[in-house]
Amino acid sequence: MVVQIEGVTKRFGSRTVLQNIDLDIPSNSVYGFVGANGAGKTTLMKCMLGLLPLNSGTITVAGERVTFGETPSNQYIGYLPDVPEFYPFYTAHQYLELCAVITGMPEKDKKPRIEELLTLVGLADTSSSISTYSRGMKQRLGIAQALLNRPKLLICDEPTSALDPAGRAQILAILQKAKEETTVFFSTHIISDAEQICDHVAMLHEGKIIFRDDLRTLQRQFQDQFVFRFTIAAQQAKNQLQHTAFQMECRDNELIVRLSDDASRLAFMTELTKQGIILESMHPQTRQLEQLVLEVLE
Amino acid sequence: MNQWIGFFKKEWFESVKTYKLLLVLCIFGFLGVLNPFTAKITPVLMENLMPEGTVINLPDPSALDSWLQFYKNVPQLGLVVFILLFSTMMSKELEKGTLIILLTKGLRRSTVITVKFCLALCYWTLALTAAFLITYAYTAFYWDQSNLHHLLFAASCLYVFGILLLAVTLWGNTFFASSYGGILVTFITIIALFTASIFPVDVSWNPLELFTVPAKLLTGETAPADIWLPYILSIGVAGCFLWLTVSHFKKKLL
Repeated sequence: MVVQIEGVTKRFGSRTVLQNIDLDIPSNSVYGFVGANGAGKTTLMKCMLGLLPLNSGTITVAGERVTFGETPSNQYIGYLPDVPEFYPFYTAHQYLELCAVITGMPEKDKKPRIEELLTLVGLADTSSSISTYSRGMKQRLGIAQALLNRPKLLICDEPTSALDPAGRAQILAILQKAKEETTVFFSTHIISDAEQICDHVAMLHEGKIIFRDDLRTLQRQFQDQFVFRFTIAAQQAKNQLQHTAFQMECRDNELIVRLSDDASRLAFMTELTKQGIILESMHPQTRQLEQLVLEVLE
Repeated sequence: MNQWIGFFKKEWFESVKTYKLLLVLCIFGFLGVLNPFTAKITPVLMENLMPEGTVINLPDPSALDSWLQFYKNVPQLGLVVFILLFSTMMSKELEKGTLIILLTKGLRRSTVITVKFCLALCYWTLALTAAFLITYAYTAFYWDQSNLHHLLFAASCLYVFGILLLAVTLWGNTFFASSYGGILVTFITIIALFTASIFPVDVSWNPLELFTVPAKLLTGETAPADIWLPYILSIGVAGCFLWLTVSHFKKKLL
């Protein structure tokens, strides 16, 4: 485990923002941290970076305990804030050079590493100052600086939240690639982003982790489900199929049916024909995580 | 040390890019020229402004008049503008969040404070030196300066007083993390020093003495030994404020 969070509680005055959080992040994975705005995601990330003191509990990064202030554990971490702010008068190259000096990178490694990262994030051909950068370019530079010292853990706070679809896709692709050399822990309230690249997901709600699991396990709970839409109302179709043994549920005028194997799928289609129910559309259950999140929030 | 130098380079580059260097050189260069010029032109102006027929006996301007202008203009105009220019050293970074990335990369918090203070100190040295040298050269062109006492020491009093104000401003700016915090704290400090100076004491300790004593030093009315206490005290208090700033910033929630 690259990160171990045990019993972390954080209060601001009388308001408890994080309550007894336990979380383990395995190495070389992409760990999605989902939750609504204000759920406490940024607070937990800042605690992991030693920027905020804990009220109780411990956080360990790569075996090093996180302490408030100048924590030695930060040498293993690359951090991308939600709105990365850079010195506008620098170019991307100059900014990364400053970061390299701060991290104490050996002189001979600086140039090739900076070139490599600028190529990775698509800023190698940009020579203008950061003041001219778009939001997406700043996010990409943010990832480059975070990966500079080959961290064991890359923490990204809502890296895609304010980007257009093209920008989001670029960032997700970079994070996916970053997994080859590091562990990515990223927060988001865009569930589809987490679904797209995460191996594990945890959800924070009102300061508590309300679920955490391998994404495949979560998806498995839904993979046998199919969504049907008919020319008649879903409830009417369900009533007509009431005598059968299929597990059915109506949601938004759609019938969700659990069909675990080919035989049951064929049997269900035969039953529809028998009952004279005309199919309009049918697809496997998707948006699983989003649905799960909505269920939890309800 | 590499980290300290690297961050100092960034601060220097930023100050140049944001025209701080140009502004400081222009303002203090202008003040340097203004001092002897004002001394030279004042009697002529007075004569022209008086009603016709009025007879006034003004002594001829001297090097002392030029330096008196220096100790009026540089602290009252130059130092005020200088403090305003450097009053957002920390708050700008804290408000924008530009330091977060560097701090999580291992930049020491003490480095941030000491670098910012050292850069401001370099600028203050540059500014005062520029104004001093220009005033000296321009005054020497018109008048003999050999009768003036403790010329360099008088300037060093102003220099030390400026260092004290810089340290107070940096502390206020870091503590309140707002652009007005530093200015407000400095303003309150000066008011407090003025208030304290009202009460008569046998041996003056008030750093404000450094602000008022240069004229007396130039005429030889006061000797450097008479103001060792406010001189040393100002350096000590500036050091304390710098330590307080570092210590506060180390515990600051970001």
